[in-house]
Amino acid sequence: MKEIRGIIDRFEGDFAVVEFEGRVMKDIPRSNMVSEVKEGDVIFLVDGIYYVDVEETLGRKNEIAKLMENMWE
Amino acid sequence: MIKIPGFRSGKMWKKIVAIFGYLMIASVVSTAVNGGESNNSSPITASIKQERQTTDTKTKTPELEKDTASTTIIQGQKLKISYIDVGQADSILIQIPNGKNVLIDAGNNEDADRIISYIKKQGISKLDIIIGTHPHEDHIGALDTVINSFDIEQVIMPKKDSTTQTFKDVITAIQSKGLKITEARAGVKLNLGSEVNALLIAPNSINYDDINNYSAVLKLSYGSNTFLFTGDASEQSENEIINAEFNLKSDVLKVGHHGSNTASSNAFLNKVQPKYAIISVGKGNTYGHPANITIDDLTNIGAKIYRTDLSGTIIAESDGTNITINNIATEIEPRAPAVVAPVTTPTVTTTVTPKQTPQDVTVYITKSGAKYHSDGCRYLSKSRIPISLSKAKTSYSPCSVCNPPR
Repeated sequence: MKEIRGIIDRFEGDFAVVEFEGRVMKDIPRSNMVSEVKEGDVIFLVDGIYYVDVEETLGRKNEIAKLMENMWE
Repeated sequence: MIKIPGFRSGKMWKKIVAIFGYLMIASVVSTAVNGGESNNSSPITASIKQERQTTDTKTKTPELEKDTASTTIIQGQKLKISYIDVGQADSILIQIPNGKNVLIDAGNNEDADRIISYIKKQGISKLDIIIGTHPHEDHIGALDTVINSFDIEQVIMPKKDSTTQTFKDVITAIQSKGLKITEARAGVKLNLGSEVNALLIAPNSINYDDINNYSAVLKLSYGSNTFLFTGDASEQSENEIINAEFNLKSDVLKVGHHGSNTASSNAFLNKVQPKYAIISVGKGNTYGHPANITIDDLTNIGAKIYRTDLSGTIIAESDGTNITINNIATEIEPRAPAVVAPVTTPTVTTTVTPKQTPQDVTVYITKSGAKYHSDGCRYLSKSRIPISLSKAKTSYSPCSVCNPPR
């Protein structure tokens, strides 16, 4: 079964704007997420609630950090 | 004959050894004189250190305020700024009379076609500078496609990451073009020729909790006309800008964060004193933008408000002295359902110049007083809040000293 996963781009009031596969953006109420979610977190859906995938979040952060290396002058 | 050690014998190898020796002694002495600084501390590196230091301690840096130098007006040519309707997002195209072009932000992911066709319609093939104010998708969404579609000279972004694919694609696009990124921070001057002054006045700090505060904020002037572009900067960044004592007064303000209540504090608006306020916002957005309080505060300060959700793309033009704002009745962006605006003559450009009918004369109130006043009244020395006469009459009575219009 394919899990629904996304990345939190930003918060706007009571909503999280989440990037899903193919850069499709959706507004998800924050009440449908665990409270500790932060911008940049990778989240996945189980029984109507979004949880943070800590490991994948960290992995992505490292990957992006590497990509950003030496790009700013 | 030189009678110092190393030169007495006249042997070449001894002379060479001696020269090295004397050079080393000289360098040690000069280090000691410079107070322990390493001896490659040229005046240039010293001044960079100084600047960092002042930035870190957030003390005033008068160097950064020199945005008042006069600009070269090109007669008959206009500075044109398009606040492109990209729904609930930002994208602003600045066309300078000398032919240079700047794009601030590139809307949502889905706005690529709209932005690119708008820029191409202006006959532009090169963007001299693109600014991604901060790494949220509603500002950098189509930036990768823009980078791939035009010649790009310089990219300016704050050094702040995002884990989204959107951000990753932007960085990859910049990398594939062989470009580097100029870090957005207060004090960075944009090199756009003598026709305009363009200075970043934020971000002023290195780290923020709220990513919106990383927003690059640009102050632009052409002749006597001034423009402020705030990205999504929130109150914290606004306060830092105020404390850094940048000259904020601007004729046209791109209102921060789509008119949300997180931006446009009264303290900030009081410094900016905008004549025109442009809100880039999507019709029927889920977030309640723009906030009523922002609209009220902008109205109270005397700004004429334009909104992309009501007018579509908004164009400001300046000849260096006067500004005209045209809101072309373009179709409104999706996420922004059709408006019931008078679009019967879609090609007509309406030039809106603020005209003052007797009903909408501006009068002034004070923070605490119950009277309204004419400009210049002595009761306005401490507090002077512009308000329309019609609005003033509903809750204030005319001052008996200055006898304002009734």
